[in-house]
Amino acid sequence: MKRGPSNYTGAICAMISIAVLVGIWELSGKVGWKYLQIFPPPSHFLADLADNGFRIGLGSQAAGIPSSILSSFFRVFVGLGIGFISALCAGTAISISIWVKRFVMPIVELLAPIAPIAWIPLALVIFGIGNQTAIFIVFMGVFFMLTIATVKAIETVPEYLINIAKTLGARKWQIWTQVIFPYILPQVFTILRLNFIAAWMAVLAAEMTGLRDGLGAIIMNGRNLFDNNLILLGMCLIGISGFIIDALLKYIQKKFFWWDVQRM
Amino acid sequence: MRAQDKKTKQGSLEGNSIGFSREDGGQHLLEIIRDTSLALHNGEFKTIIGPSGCGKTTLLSILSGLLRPDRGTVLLNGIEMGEITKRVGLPTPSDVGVVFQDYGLFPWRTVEKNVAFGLEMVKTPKNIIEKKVSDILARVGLTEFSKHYPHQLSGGMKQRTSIARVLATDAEFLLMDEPFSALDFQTRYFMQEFLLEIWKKFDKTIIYVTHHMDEAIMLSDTIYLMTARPGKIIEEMKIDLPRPRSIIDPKFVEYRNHIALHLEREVKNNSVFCLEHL
Repeated sequence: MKRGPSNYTGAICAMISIAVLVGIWELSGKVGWKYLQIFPPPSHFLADLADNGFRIGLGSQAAGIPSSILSSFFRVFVGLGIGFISALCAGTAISISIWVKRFVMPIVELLAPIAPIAWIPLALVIFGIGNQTAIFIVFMGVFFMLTIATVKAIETVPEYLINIAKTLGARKWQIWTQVIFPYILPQVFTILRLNFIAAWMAVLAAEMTGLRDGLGAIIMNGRNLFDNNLILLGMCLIGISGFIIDALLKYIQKKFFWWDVQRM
Repeated sequence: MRAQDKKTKQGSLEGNSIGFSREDGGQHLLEIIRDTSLALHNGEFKTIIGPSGCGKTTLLSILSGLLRPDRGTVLLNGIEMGEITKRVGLPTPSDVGVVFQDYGLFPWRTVEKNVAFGLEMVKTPKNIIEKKVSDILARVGLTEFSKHYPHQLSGGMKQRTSIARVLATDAEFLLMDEPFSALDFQTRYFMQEFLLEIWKKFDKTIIYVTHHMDEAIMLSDTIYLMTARPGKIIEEMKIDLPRPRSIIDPKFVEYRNHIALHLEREVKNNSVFCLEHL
């Protein structure tokens, strides 16, 4: 489970490579690069941000940076959570009953390829401008894929493991809670992590098009105000936040769903 | 614990003229087991030997209650298997435990939690589970590994854990499906000794499936010879050798030759029968 010193080596290399990138970016500002206006270096937009008291926007509509980040985080995590649990339920129902499978699976497979971004206009009409819209979009972005992944994962549970549980006295529902769910959770959670990126982008797109707050809104604010400092700041924050969420999901996986059933 | 183990039991597990077929993709029925009878009484160690794919695993599944035979009956302590499972509302009777070749350990559970599985399923109080699990782990020599996860164990220790798990349920009958065939020669040898020790210490009744002649003669009181397609027990052979046994004992060799000859004759009568594993 532990990879030892290589963990640190990786982290140090990552920091060096990012530092070099930022350094070149800053340096190109110093030597008078002609795209400086649309590509302000970190020292510019950070100074600009400090001047505004770490708030973004004009007057009463201004929102603090932490609240922007938190509202995006909140939307993604609530959407992922609801999507994860509903997909497990749907996948279970489909696996238990052949009739549910015959009727529901085609719908799931039909809706799965629709990009979550495509749901934005409809969601805005149904839920209006607010958290519900964003959560709905994240949900749509992960639910169908996760349902399919759950059904497929349940099919991979080896029969001998279920037989073992039966001979040890497990009843039907105990086989689900004690064997099948633990067996599939790591796989389904991995799919969740892979789908997170799509959900994350969908939230940002929703924030750019409809919602007034969140990280996506920072960029739109910048565009409306012709403030490239704001755009670059938004982009940096999105990059860092996405990285942090992915790290959080990896941490959750390691902490709660660490077992690798393939190796058994 | 000891006193309870020593008490005389009179259990029996019998299969009477069992037949089993499975659909073969299309309309054809594939006959897997034909008219096979065997009986297992308290304290016995019996082995079924036959080539891979001759229906040994199916036969064990039928004896454990996981599968229902198409023909014939399975009686546990004189009562029909189907009736027992219906009465207790469990998929298989609690008096029968199974050990598979693939260990079947739950990778998300530690050794002690794996051993506790059967007890947890029937809602045993926590303190009793703890006591029982630590007692059994001590008796099979796994105490220091109780907090380990299966992926941290060697093959031999994994199989020991899965045997401990069955012991924890107090099942009298242990059905073992080639439990040591994934292990290397050395480990296999130690595990055979370990199993004989467990058999005596816990006063269990064992039916053991293998395709290894030496293993069968080394372990059991009685060997059933089974043929392939459809699987059928064709001979019951008593092994009359004191334990511990040695493979260079002339009598051991005699038994071995007898089995080999008998199976070879089967090959001549039945072209599908394969000897590659013998």
